[in-house]
Amino acid sequence: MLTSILSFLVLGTVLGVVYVLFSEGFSLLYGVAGVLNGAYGALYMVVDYAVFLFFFYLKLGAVASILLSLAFVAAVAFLAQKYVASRGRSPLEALFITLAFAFVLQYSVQFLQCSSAFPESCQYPAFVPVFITGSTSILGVSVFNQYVIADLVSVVVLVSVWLLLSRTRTGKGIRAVSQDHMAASLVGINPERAILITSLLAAVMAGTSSVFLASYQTVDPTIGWSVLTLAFAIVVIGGLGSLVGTVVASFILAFIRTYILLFVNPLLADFVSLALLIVVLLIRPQGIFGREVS
Amino acid sequence: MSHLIRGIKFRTSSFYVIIASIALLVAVEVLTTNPFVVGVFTLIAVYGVLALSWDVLSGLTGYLNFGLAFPFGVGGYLAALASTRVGLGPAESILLAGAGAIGFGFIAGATSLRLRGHFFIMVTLLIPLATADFLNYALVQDGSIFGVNSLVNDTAYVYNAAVAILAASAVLFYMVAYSRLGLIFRSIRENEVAAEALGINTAKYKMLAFSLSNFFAGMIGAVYVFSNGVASPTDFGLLFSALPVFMCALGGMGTIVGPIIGTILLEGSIDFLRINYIQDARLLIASLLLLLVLLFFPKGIWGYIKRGES
Amino acid sequence: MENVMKRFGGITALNGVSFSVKQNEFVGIIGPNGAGKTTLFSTIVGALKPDAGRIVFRGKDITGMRPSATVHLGLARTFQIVRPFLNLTVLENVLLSAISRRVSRGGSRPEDRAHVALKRVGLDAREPVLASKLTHGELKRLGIAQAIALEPVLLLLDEPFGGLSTEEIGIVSGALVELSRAGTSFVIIEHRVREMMRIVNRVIALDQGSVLTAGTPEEVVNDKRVIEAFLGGGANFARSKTN
Repeated sequence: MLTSILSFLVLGTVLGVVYVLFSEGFSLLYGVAGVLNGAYGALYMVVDYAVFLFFFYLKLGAVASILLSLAFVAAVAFLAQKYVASRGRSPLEALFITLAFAFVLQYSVQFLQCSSAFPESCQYPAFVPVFITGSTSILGVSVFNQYVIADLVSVVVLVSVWLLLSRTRTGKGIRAVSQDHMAASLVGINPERAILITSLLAAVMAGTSSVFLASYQTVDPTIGWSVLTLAFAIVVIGGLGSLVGTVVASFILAFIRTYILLFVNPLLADFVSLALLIVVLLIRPQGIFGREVS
Repeated sequence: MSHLIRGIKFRTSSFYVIIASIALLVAVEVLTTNPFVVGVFTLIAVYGVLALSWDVLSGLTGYLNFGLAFPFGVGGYLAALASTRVGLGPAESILLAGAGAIGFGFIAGATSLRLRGHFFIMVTLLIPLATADFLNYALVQDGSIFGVNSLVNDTAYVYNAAVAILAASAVLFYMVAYSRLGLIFRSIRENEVAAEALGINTAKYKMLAFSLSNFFAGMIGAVYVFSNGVASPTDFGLLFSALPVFMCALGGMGTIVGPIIGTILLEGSIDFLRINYIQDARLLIASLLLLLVLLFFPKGIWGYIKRGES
Repeated sequence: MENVMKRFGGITALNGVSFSVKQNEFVGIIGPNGAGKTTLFSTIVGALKPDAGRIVFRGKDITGMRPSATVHLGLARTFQIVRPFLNLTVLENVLLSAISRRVSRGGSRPEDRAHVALKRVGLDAREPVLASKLTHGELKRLGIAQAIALEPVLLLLDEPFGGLSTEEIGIVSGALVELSRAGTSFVIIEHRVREMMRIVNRVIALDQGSVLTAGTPEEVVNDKRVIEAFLGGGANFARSKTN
């Protein structure tokens, strides 16, 4: 009994930290751009394939593959934001356009991975290797080392981002833009630049979490959607625009998911997250910490 | 409510194109028995109905429904159940599927229509995905219903049913869109608060649009299941939610003609472009096409053609 | 039949406002900015819910009823900043009101009612034009046409003359007088007090959410408290009286 509870607590926490990482990326982007980016999940997916490409085909080392992939996805995100997402005349149009872009990414990857144009690659389903092998025991619970490192890296990235936002001029500019585009531009801050930088940050955050989580999951072009769903669920439940809320909601969802995986039925995991999201949207659309929805 | 479907002009280019498309679909059946061609046009009819259903709700009221797979899948499963467990004939099953889709749609709509903007998009997107997950878990045999065999070999019946549903929905939706009711729907898209201030019960009209959309989506979902012989969770898949949206955006949202044009172009190219390397890239080409249209022709093809008029 | 509107209490924007409007009356409301005039209208039609008090309309308690419902009982309002459907034509904008009003007094078609309303405000020549292309004055008149097409029993007008040219004011005043002959009652908020004084029977002065005083136009305008509350405005009233 005790071991079960400990498993639940430890694994839930481990998962929660990583959830915080990728949902904060999504949340930041929403806060600054005012737009929900429908391609976020696709970017998450693209990182995995990039790592696979660099590591498996180009035979680069693990670290090099990861760093290159992060750079790659950051570039994609940057270009997407500059040339695609910003073309939407309203937040709705932008969401629409980014969703279309997500499909383009998905089908591009699908085509490159396996098609009559690239027949050989069909034999090798994509995967992201386990970078750090072995496991350690935390409070008597066996946790994969990779997840432990993932948590450490996540914390480092989150703290760095937080420092960036609160201490540097760029960061303060970003925060100003997230509060009021008009006011920010009146004092000389360029909202577009802030949005572009934020999209780079968000891509790196999504990519980092993706790299660590993907080793223990299947990788296919459609995984982006469940990630987008999860990030959206977390951000909405925590409250759009509230960074604290995102943290809280990340852990709530991580614990729920762990509980279902451990004690109920793994198949229900996605369904429960979605159901919870729908319930929250009905009862309290602004989430736990969010401001009133106008 | 009948006083709202008044004052409709039928001598418009839009209506002529609709009639021409229906005529085309009928002609195909008369002119050829090539199963491949009939199969493609069946798919065109299926996606056409979905696109039309999307347009009458989202194109007109502005509530962008990304979950059309839900009534589609529900209709399919209801028809499968009716056919295999209760022994209803295909026609009755199809109608039942439509009615059932409205019913289930009430639940989905009552919850989601209260939300605005991106919340509505995301919730509607998620409902069919959640349903598919649930079915995978709840039903044995991978969540599917097998043995829906009454029409599997009767491609003629399937095609006729699909075209009939397409014709009915196209004409009905045209009448809705270009009548006073259509004006009310469009006022919801333009400025919902102002519409309320003028005494328009927007909740009621949103549910009406939603129900119209669901009825036909459910029926065509039933036809789809009959043609496959199986109802499976993939019927709730993203493809059935997203492709119709693509087709409307391509053809022109809110015009009723747009979806038909978009469907013929998109589905036609997906299926007929069987040149070697292009074949597997079909979906990629389709989504690129969509992206380009969204970026450069926000009003779609028909919208671009008609851009001079008010 | 009486259109009785009584309000007690309210939000801090409105503090114990009470008054009533009789049928065929033309009531004007004046007050400095922030006195709560627009809030008052919003509360009456149901866009805002009062924290206390009641609103009774033709014998029915309509406190807190949704705007789309109050419209069907015979209430209508215009907005200080007009809310048209920009991508629809002028005719379509008014047609929506006409359609919304299900059963008309005369049993006419909505399209006819829309034409009539637009003619009354002088916009019939602009029917096929998109609302986004109208001038400010035309937009205000469009808002009034929308309200007219609802065939209201009681019409609340929020600064109907704001931004209108003298000619346009004449057209609108004429339309309102015609409506009043057909039995409509009015409540008008206006800063252009001079124009308003010509058509109202009674004036209510609001300040900081409370009623200062009420009475005939002359009484209110010369009331010391009103003059004080409006600071320099009082001098203008006195001058306008001699015009």
